[in-house]
Amino acid sequence: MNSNPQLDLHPDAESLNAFMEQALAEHERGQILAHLAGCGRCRQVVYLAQEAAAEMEPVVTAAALRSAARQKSWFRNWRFAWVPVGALAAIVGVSYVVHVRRVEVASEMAKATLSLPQNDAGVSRPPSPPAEIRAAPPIAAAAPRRTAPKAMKPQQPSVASKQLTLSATAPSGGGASEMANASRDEAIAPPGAPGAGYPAMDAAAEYKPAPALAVRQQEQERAAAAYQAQSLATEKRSEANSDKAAKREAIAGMLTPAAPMAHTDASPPHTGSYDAGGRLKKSGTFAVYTAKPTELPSGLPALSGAAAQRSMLAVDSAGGVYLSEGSGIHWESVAKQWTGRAVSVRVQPRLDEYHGAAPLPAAVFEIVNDQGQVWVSTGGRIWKAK
Amino acid sequence: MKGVGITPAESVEGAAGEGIPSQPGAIDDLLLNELWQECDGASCGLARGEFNKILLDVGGAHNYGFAEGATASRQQQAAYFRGLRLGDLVLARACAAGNERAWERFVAIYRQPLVRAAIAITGSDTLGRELADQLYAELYGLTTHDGERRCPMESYRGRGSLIGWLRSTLAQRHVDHHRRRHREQPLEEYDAPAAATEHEKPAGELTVLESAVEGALERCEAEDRLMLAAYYLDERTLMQIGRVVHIHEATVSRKLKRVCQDLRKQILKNLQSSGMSRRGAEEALGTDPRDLDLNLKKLLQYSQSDAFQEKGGR
Repeated sequence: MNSNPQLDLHPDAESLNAFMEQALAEHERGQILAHLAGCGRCRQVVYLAQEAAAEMEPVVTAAALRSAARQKSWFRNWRFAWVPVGALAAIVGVSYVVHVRRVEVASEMAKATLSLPQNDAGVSRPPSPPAEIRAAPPIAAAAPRRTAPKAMKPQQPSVASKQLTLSATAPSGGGASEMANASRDEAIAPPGAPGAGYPAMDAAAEYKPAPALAVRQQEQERAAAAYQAQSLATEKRSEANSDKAAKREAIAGMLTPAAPMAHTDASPPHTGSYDAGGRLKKSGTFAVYTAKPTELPSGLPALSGAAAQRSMLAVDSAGGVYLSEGSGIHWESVAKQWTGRAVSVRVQPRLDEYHGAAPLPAAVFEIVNDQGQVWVSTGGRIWKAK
Repeated sequence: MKGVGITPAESVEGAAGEGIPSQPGAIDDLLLNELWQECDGASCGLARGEFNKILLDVGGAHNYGFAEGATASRQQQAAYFRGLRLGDLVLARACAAGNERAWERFVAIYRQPLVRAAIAITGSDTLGRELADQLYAELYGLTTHDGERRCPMESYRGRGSLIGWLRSTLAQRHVDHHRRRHREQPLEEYDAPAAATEHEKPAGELTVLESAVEGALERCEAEDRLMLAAYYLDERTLMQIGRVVHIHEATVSRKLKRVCQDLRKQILKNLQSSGMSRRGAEEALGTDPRDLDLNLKKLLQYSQSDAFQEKGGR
C-alpha cells in the first residue's frame, strides 16, 4: 500500500482534456481512469473543466434548442390543421381532374360538331375563299329585283362589246331546289373556253325584291344556302380533273366582284351592266355580272351570256352563238337561224314583269342582233323570230 | 507511464518497423503537404520545416497513440496525424515560439472564451478574470525557468481542442491554488485524504473485515472505482459522473448498483476465505461502519495501479 496517497504526479492538462474529449487511445484512457479513481485533485479538475465547457456551450445549445423547439412546436401547433388542408387539397385535385375531363369531352364534342360542316365546306369550298361570293350570294341571281349600283352604268355599245353579263333566271316550277340549281349553274358557269373567266358578281349590287315576291325570295335565300354547299361540292368534284381545276380557277376569278375595282382600272372597264339596252338592268330578275373577255371555241371573247338551268348561251365578238349544256365545260356552236349579227343573249321571263301565284314559265333564251331584232329559243338550239 | 501526459518523448528513430521513419523529418512528403495545407500553418508564421518537427515531436511523445513498445506503421502514423487538431496545434506552437501573428490570432479567438471559462470555473467574475489574466501571462511566456522563456502551450499536442486544453489548464490552476490555500486553513475544512496514522489494532473480526473491504476494492475496475469515488466521496451527481466516463446517467446508476453488489459479494467471499462462515460473514457486514477504521480515499488511491511520472500542470 502506498504510504503516501497524496499524488504529486498527475496527468497534464492535455491528457485530461483529451480524456474528456475522448481523444485518447484505449490504453491511455485506462490509465487516466485509474488515476482519476484515486486522485481527487484530477477529478476536481475534470469536473470544473466540464462545468466550464457546459456553461460555455449552453449559449449555443439553448438557442439551438429554442429554435428547434420553435420549429417543432410550429409543426405541432399546425398538426391538426393538416387534416382539413389535406382534405381540401384532395377535393380541389379531384375537382380539377373532373373539370379537365369535362372540358376535354366538351371540346371533343365541339370538334365533332364543327368537323361536319367544316368537312363539307372543305369538300365544296374553292381554294380561294370567295368572300366576295359570300358578299354577293349566289341566290342573288334568283332575286326578284336587283339594281345595279349607280357606278355601274350601262356602257356604250363599243365598250359593252367587250363586256359580258351573265344572267340567270329561275327555272320553271319555282321549287327551292330548282332555284338552287339555277343559282349553282349561274355560279359555276363559265361562258368561255378554259382559261377564260367571267367577271365577279358586283358586290355593291343591291337587292330590291318585289313586294309580291318577298315570301318567295326568302325561300330562295334559304334554298341558296343549301345550294352553296352543293355548288361547292360540285366544284370539289371538278378538282379531280386538272383541266377542270384550271377552269375552276377561272370561274373563281370570274365570280370575283369587280365593281369597285372596275372604276379604278385605267383600262376600259370590263364591268358594268351588260345589256346595251339596259334590259337586264331593268329587269332586276337576274344577276348582272361583270365579264372579263373570254374565249369561246371560236377563240374570240364572249360578249354576252345567259344561263338557265344547265344550259348556257354565249355570244362572241363575231356574233357567233355557242351553247353549253355541261356547265360550261363543253361548248358547241349554234347554227345561225337569225339575221344580222347577234350581239347579246338573255333569258326570259323577267320576274319583275311576272305577277301572280302561278308557277313561273319555262325559261326562254333570247338573242338580240345588231338591229335590235329578237329571236327566242327554249333549248338554245332552235330559234325563231320573236 | 509513457505515452500519457508530458512524458518526455521517446524518439522514434530507434523504433523498428516498416512504418517508423528512420530519421527525424522523414514524414512522407505527400502526407506532409496534405497536413500542411490542412493546418494552414503559413498563416501563423510557421515554416514547413518547423511543422515537420512539431509533428515528429508530437507523434514521438505519444508513440503515435500506441502503447509503449509498439510500433506504428506509416499508415498508422498518418492516421494519428490526421486525428490531431493540427490547426490548434500549429497555433499553439507558433504562440509558444512567440510569433506575433499567431498571438494576434490567438487573442482574437481565445481571449474571451478564456475569461468566460475562468469565470465559470471560479464561480466569480473577479476571481475568474484574475485567473484568466494569470494564465494569459503565463501563456505569453512572461515566466522564465532557468533564464529561458517557458510557455505552457508547448505541452499542447493537439489530441484535444485548444479551448479544452485551456479550460483544463485553468481548472488545474484553480484547483492547485485552492488546495494550496486550503492547506493554510483549519484542518476540518481540508478534504484531502488523511495521512496514514498509527492506530490501535482493532479486534480480530474488524481486522478481517477491513482486509476484506480493501481486497474487494483492489479488485475493482478503474472505471468502477472512479464512479464509486465520484458518487460516494465527491458526491457528484449521476449526470456529472456520466459526463466524465461518457456514459448515460442511467447507466451510471446501474453500474453503481452492480458494483456495490459485486463489492458485497467480494467482501463476503473474502471473509469466507479468511475462515468465516457464510452466516458469520453476513453478520460481519452488519457491523456499524463507524466501528471500522477504513479510509476509502486512501484505499481508492492505493488501488490505482500506476502513477504518472510527471507533475501534471504544474
